[in-house]
Amino acid sequence: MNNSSSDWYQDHTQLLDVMRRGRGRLGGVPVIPGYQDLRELRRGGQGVVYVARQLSTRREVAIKVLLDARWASDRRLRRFEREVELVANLQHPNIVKLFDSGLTDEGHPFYVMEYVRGCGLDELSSSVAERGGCVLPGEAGSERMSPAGAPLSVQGAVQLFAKVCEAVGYAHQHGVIHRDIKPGNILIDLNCDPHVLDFGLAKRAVGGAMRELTELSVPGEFMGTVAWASPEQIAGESVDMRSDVYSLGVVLFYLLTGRFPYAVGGSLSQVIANIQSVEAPRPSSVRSGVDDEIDTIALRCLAKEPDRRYQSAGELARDVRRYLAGEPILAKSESAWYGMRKKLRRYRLAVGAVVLTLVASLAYAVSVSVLYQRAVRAEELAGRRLVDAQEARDEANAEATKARAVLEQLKGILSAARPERHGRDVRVADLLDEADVLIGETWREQPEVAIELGATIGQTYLSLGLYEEAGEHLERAYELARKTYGADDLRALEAAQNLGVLRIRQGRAEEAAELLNRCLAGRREALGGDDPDTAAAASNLAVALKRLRRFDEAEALYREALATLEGSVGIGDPRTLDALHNLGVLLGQQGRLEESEELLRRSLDAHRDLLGLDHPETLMAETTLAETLLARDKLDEAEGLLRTNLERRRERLGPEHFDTTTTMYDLAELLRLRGKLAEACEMSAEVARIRERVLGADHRHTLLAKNDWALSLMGLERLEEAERILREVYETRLAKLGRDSTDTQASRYNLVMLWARQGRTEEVLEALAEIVVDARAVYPPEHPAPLVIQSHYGEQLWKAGRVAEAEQQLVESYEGLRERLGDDHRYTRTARERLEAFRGAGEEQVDSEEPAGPGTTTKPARRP
Amino acid sequence: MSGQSTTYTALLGRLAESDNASAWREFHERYADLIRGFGRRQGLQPADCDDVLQEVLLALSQAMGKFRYDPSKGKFRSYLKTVALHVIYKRRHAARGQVDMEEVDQATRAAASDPSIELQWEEEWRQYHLRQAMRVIEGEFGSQDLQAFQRYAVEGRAVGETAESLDMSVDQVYQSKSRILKRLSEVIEHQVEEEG
Repeated sequence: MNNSSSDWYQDHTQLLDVMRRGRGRLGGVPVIPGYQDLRELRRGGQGVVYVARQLSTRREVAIKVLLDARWASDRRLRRFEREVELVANLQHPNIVKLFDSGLTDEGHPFYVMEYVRGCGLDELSSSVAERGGCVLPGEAGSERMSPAGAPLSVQGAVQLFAKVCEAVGYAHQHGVIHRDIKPGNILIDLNCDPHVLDFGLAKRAVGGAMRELTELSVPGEFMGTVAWASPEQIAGESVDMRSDVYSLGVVLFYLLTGRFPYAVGGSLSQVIANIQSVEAPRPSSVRSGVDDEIDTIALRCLAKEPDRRYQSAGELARDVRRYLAGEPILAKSESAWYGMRKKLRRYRLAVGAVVLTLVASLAYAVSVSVLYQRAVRAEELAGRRLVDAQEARDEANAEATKARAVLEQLKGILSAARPERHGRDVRVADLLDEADVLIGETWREQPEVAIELGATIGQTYLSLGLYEEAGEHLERAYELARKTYGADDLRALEAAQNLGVLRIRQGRAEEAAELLNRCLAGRREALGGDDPDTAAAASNLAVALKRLRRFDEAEALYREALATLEGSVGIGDPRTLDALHNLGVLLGQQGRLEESEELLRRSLDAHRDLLGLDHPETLMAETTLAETLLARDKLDEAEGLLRTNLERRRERLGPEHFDTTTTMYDLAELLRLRGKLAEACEMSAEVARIRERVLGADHRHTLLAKNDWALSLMGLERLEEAERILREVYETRLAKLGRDSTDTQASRYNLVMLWARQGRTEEVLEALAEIVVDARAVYPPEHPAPLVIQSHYGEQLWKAGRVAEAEQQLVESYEGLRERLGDDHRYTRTARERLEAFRGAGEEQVDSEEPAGPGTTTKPARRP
Repeated sequence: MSGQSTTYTALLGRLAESDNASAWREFHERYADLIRGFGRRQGLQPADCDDVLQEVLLALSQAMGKFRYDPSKGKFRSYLKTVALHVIYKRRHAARGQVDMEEVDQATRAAASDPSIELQWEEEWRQYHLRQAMRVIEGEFGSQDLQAFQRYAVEGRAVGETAESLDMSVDQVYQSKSRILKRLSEVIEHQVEEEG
């Protein structure tokens, strides 16, 4: 049988069959682009760790592939990605750095991290039971060291532990909870320094709560994790920093004694019962040489109630450091300490409510004083619910003072939720998770608070770009508001507006329009047409209608909103500026350039007056105006505007900021129009490169830049390069956007123009005939693009000798353009020149029989 | 052969030198999945497969200490198969309580010429060659080519979909497929030749 099969690798069908059979079988090394030489380092219940070489940097890295992670939904995958993003931001010498993540070809999530030479703390401590203490690796120099060397002294163990606590504390400060602290997740390098790994990731990937872990079919693995878990984790409750503190306590106990604080060898239910109820003994009762203070620290971590523990790993680390420095530890004074905790617990719940009201107020730009009132009210609600009324009143004054301080502090933290300021922020995401829990509790008892919280959290998710999560909260808030207050209540209308704005961002314009319409109608009824809130609703509805290509209605609403806002809050209000700007853009998109220019000039003036020359929004208003000027052929003014704008943006935003590339993009188009093709080409190419790197290859704005680049190349007669790029852009757009997109149509037209240059007349005619029809359907009615295409079509028909059709197309397009853009516009000029050439040819060469294209010696006859 | 530090026969030679740790690691890397996979096909649990792997490596190291592997005496492929079968049958007998080495040897011989077992071994052997070859070509092709190949040729997704998802043209996808297949054939052919 060997003979018959010896050539399997030469027959490609057989080769592929072998390959397909091999796929997905356990044990195959996964293919991860960008990395090579994968070799298995260790294999656990959650996945396999490989050492590999990263091709780009040539460095050795460790890659963990999560084999058992079940990706029930995209949402979970996105959460994983976000988690990776969060952890990748952690920069600490005792935390294993995260470089990269993704999915393998087989769909398993993986992440790439720093490769630490050394061994797991579990491998070190496995010899503890035999030798009566932990050992440290010797300087053997092998990659994975065998446990060798002297047993770890109590002092040595505590020193190691302090570093681990500091690392975890650092992560806590950045809003990252580990959730799975155990010796196997602590690597010891050749200098005996610990490196904590797998922050939150593996656990999150398999579903968050321990409850889901029990579903895993590898009991051994599960037990390996369960032994280190906190009582609340075991119970499947929500987990916070204090759960990590508990696990750290188990690790400390184990490091010191080689044992667990309770029996973990029996059945699962027995182990769970032990974790939840068996009090840990003093480590000193197991190992001599452990002093009273270490006992206290360990037992403080191992308290069953989270409130009795250190409240974060940082607090724990500080106490451990105090111990090592010979100072008295804080955990010593038990009763005072617990009393304080108890007070703080009450306070913390109140603070939770404050946080949420605060986020709400950020979203709605409510003044600080109103916010403070709300905070106090929310606090009272929380207070009434949790402690008895008398006590709540007694503490009201003190709480209010504290609340104000916290408020100021939180304002700083929460402003980080605005991605335009700081990017997506770790702490806020985590805060929101906690808020989720709080909301669940509040829901039934305090619908008013719950509605506000829902709106707040939803808005914050929205500003983080997490639409699905935002949707959950905003929908719930809207439902509840309608039920609680009635559909016509202003609070229900506000909830409708919030949800509507989200739907716009999600591209669900139909739903958005319905919700916003309801909000507008309700506000007109309740507040009247002249109220700024009514205007805001109108303005939002206009955005949705624009998306639905209901331009006339959108325009009417913008105008209504603008009039109201100018009359009430004045031109200086951001809402007024927005409406002005948006209306200008809308008109521009419809090809109504003159009106657009006027509005955008007013908008720019107002921006400059109110915000100054350098403000990002002023700079935005400048480029918007420049684009309209460009379309109106006012090239000198546009160029001046764009050049100063580019300078300011480069300086303020940096050379690779998206806004900066927008200016370059506009400037390149302008240069091309002026015939400065080499400069234009260079600039477009740079924009394309930056955007491809920053936004990705198939992003709309990357494609726009590539398209322009190709047009410049065409101008420079570099047709092959141009065709390659245009084809790429067209194919991507067609696949992504379908035929009914102006972008797709535009790049198809550009491709056809290129064929025309190459003399591929037949293909050109066929394609143009289609494009003319498609373009009319796709562009708004007054847009000049279909006419420009039509004029070109006419010229090509003439070239092919189809004179009668040519004339019709040339005349129709010229007249259409003249009507819309005026006599002087370059589109009109081109159309006129084509028509004149056609007619001139007819007059000069009436008798000619052989049709030929313009620019050749014989010109086709026009038959009257 | 790029991507691998040693040729096949040189690796076996180095294995014979006592305590050549890096050679052992490399040997482990190359054949671990092969042995494990074969063990699975013989109905062993994953943990048992790891034990079999250890024992096979141990058996090889003992054998290598005594003599240098001589390619003319038969293919390494069948040699390794026999060693693996021997370890597996020894375990099976041990599990039943008694280990009569003669019985084990007999069972091994019978299994070695069993066509259905040969079929299983051949499949694992092919997978092994394929894995080795993939490692080589991973260093030679760009990630886009590799992904195109994976999606279009291996997973059988539509060419258009593949091209779109990777921002390639359809032609490029076809090219990736044929270039990688051609190269895989070459590399495996080379490996097989070298194996003797």
